Amino acid sequence: MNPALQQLLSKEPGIWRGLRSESSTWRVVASGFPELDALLPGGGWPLGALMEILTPCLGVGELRILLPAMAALSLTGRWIAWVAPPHQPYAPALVQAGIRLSQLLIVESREASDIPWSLEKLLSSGGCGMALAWPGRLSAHQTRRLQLAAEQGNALAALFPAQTCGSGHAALRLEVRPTPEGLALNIVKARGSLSRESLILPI
Amino acid sequence: MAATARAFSHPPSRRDEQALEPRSESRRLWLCAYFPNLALESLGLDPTQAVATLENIKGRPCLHAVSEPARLAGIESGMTLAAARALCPNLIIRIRDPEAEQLALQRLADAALDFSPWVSLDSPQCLLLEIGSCLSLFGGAESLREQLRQALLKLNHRPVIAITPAAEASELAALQGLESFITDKKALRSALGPLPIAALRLDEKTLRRLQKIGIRRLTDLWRLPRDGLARRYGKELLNRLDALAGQDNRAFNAFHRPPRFEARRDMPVELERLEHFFPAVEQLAEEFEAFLQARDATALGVNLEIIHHARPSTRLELNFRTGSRDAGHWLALLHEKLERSPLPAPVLALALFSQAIAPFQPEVVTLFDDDAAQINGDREWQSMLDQLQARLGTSALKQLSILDDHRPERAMTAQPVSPTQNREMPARPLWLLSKPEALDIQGLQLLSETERIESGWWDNAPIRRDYRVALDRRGRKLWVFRDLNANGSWYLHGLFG
Repeated sequence: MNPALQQLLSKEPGIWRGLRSESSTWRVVASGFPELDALLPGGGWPLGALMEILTPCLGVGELRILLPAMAALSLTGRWIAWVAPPHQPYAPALVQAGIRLSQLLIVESREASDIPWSLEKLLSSGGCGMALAWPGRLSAHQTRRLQLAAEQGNALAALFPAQTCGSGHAALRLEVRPTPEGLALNIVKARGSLSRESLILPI
Repeated sequence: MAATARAFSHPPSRRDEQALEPRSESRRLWLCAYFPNLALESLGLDPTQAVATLENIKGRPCLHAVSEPARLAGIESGMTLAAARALCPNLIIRIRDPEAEQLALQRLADAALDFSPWVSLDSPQCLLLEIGSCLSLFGGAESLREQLRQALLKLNHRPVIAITPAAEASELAALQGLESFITDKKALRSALGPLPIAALRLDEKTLRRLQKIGIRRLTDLWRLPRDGLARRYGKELLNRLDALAGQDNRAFNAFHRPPRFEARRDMPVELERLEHFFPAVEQLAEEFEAFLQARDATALGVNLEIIHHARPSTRLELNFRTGSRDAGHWLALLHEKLERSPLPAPVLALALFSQAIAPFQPEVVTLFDDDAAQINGDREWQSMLDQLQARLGTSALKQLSILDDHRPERAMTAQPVSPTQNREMPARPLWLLSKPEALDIQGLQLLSETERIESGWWDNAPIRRDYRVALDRRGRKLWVFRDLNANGSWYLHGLFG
């Protein structure tokens, strides 16, 4: 390969290289579901990236697929921040999932405009491993800023937007849907992979 | 018996005041200012009217401090509320506030620091000043006393001021309401002699025993042989008497004015735009940073006051989660706040002040830099949380914890993140005796505050105990408790190992 091209590729891991991407260079955190890990590029949730999870409504299992990763991150001493959660997170369930409560931070915000700002601060700080947020609507430049902040802090931003943010900044976009067999996951977009896979997790 | 004792005692000598002019000004001279109505005055009550404060003694509300007019109406401290109301129906009663008293005393000590560099708050309701070294500044002790009295009266507290060469004697005289002025140690005994021995505030038992043998006044005590006195009534009494005669060197804790910072910048013209007046804020913050560094201190909070023309000033308050002396950090927070809050009027002047100043605690770093990144990250995380808190409000950041309860609503709490996450119970011993052992409390030194642990009715093993940490003669740290269910006997329950 052209050395200039090689240099460019090693410098910019975000450049898409078709199906034969060297995803091993990306930092990921295992999702805790082997069958899901097999489908995700790099073998886990991407760290230093933005992830969107689209749900028809709250409570179908959209948080449960994140719990093992949350537990793993909290055990390494990184913080898990919940920014303006729509309901009160319930501590006993989080403990059951193995999450260290001392690494859990709830950020309440009265104004919707404070949510992206808080998220950006948390993501870029480096102390935060995962930040969850339920923003109503984010503009393209806001998601871009979040993406950069997540990259800077090597954190995973998990957003549950009300509708597709409509920007290409998310590294991973999932659609989840409850089915009688379990939770149907549809990978709408994954950076570094062209295939649009779907699977049913029995959770 | 009493009559004979009085007959034998010398008539009180009166030659002290004038006869003994201060011979050497360099000698130690102690001034004690006693505030008999501190409890009333600190609540803003007027002691020239019938007023009193109320306090709970053994679960019953009793009168604590009583003003002079109320006392004339027959009201005494320790009386019940109903009795006092019956004697004096228009008596004004307020609940005692010991914290307000302490604060008032500190304010008074602050004023007293203008008169002597050496002020002590060791005795309750008293200020103790060493004035021997600063007499010439104020034109002698009498003039100092009057100036100090005026300064204290300005703060709405009326003192009784006594000056003697012994701290203990000054305190005793002031507590008795005597405005003594004695400069010679030799005159102390004769001046204090006529005072009743109850003024010594001895314990009930010693007092009764002394009264039984006909001792009424201090002179009677001074005439008894020292060794006999020590043998019969203990060394404590002898020490007390020696201290009164100025023969001891008790060490007092000096009161220091809490440090504060205040600086102000006036604008050349009225400024409206943040970028125009913010450089002045930067200067002030840097000044404060230098102030803190010179004193090896950190700030726990900073207030910025923005003064407008003919309008109430705008106040911004920053509270830090940990002590900080980084001007850049404050400025970022202040900028953040100022950007978001539009000012009602142009800026005329700026004032930066802080009273929350704490000693600086250096971080412990390892020699071989392994943890440096970790510590740095921690600091950055804390300062990031400060920023979030400054913008979202102090209760916006919460942490969860689970509680031991089966009811879903009560199985957890969400509490604001505090810098000191010490919500745990007080210290517990490493060894717990399976069965508490009865213990003799004599000779033990009790260290901690009392911790009441009680209840347990649901499993028929109710307890009601007051736990303390104690040190025994062998240097063991013990966890002891007083069983309130079993007539207050003491037990040993654990060893701190």
